[in-house]
Amino acid sequence: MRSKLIAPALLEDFVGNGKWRPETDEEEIEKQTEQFCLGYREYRAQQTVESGDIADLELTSEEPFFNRRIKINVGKGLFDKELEKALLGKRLGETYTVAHSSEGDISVFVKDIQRLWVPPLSDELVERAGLEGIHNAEEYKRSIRLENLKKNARETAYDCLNGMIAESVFELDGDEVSFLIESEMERCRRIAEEQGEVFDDFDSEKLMGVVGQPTIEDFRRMLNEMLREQLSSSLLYLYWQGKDSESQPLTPELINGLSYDAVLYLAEKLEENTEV
Amino acid sequence: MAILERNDADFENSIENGFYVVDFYGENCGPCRLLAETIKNVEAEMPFVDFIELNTTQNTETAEKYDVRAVPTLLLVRDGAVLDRKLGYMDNSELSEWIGRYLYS
Repeated sequence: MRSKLIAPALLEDFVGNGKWRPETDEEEIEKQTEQFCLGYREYRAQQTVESGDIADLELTSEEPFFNRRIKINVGKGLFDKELEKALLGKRLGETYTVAHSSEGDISVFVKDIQRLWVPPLSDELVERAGLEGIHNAEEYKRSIRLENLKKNARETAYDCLNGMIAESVFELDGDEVSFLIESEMERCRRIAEEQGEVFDDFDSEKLMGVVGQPTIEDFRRMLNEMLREQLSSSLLYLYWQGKDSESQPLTPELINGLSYDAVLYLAEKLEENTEV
Repeated sequence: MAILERNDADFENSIENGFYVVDFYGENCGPCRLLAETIKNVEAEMPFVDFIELNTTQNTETAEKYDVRAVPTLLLVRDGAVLDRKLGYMDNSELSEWIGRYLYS
């Protein structure tokens, strides 16, 4: 590789300064906990219908739509709002008539009432789940916080890496950048050819759908920016690994791989510097 | 009722009789993962509805047969016949309302 990293931004300045601290997404953690508890839900038999209950009903009517057995979630309004409203407060085993405003009389027999119950997160629930290495609610909460932090660290690492690239000094070889751009253009042409199309003949709408740019020139400009960033990320990563960039052969695959490794490396560093 | 995973070998038999919500999803698909959460929530509120999930990355035959070109794609099926289809993510109330329009008709 002829492109060089002249002066790297200091890793410690970025990782340790707190500006790039990955945050845990509390809403996401809450949602994940709810989903976990939902997996252990029960449906409990009830005596009286409340909104949200699952009611098993036998309907009798001259109208075919209202002459059948159905199960409904009461109050969602997915079957019939009027009928569902009339159900509220009715008892298990009760038979009553609804004088429907447009469908005439409907006889309703309440066969069964079930209510969804979701257990709260508890040591017992976690023990029951049998998760490896996790024995209680506190350990479970910590494990999903760590998982969440890892995910967010990767997203934060992208921004942090861009910050480091801006603060570093590079000497990017113009021919190498052009080579990477042309390689990507060739890849696009090959893919189009496999589909029986010609990439360079794509109109604006097609280009927007395929590469997110309205013209080939715009696409090249985007590639120029993106590949220069990837090349810079790769040089930083090689520096962090103590490797000499001159001995590395320049290929699109290598640059793509190294720039991704740079993000992962930085994400790990950011995680290490963040307490859960 | 539950959310059942099916494949090319057993999918057709599964949807032969009854009403089903079929989720065609792909691996490494973000919107598919979000929709899977929605499906879990809706299934909890409507346990009398059957949901089927099919991994289109591994079961291309069924995906092709049902003209699934992008994921997530949802189908509503009754007795083997497709009633309606939707592409993309839906939230809890959108999915419930869509199911409700066909479940009781």
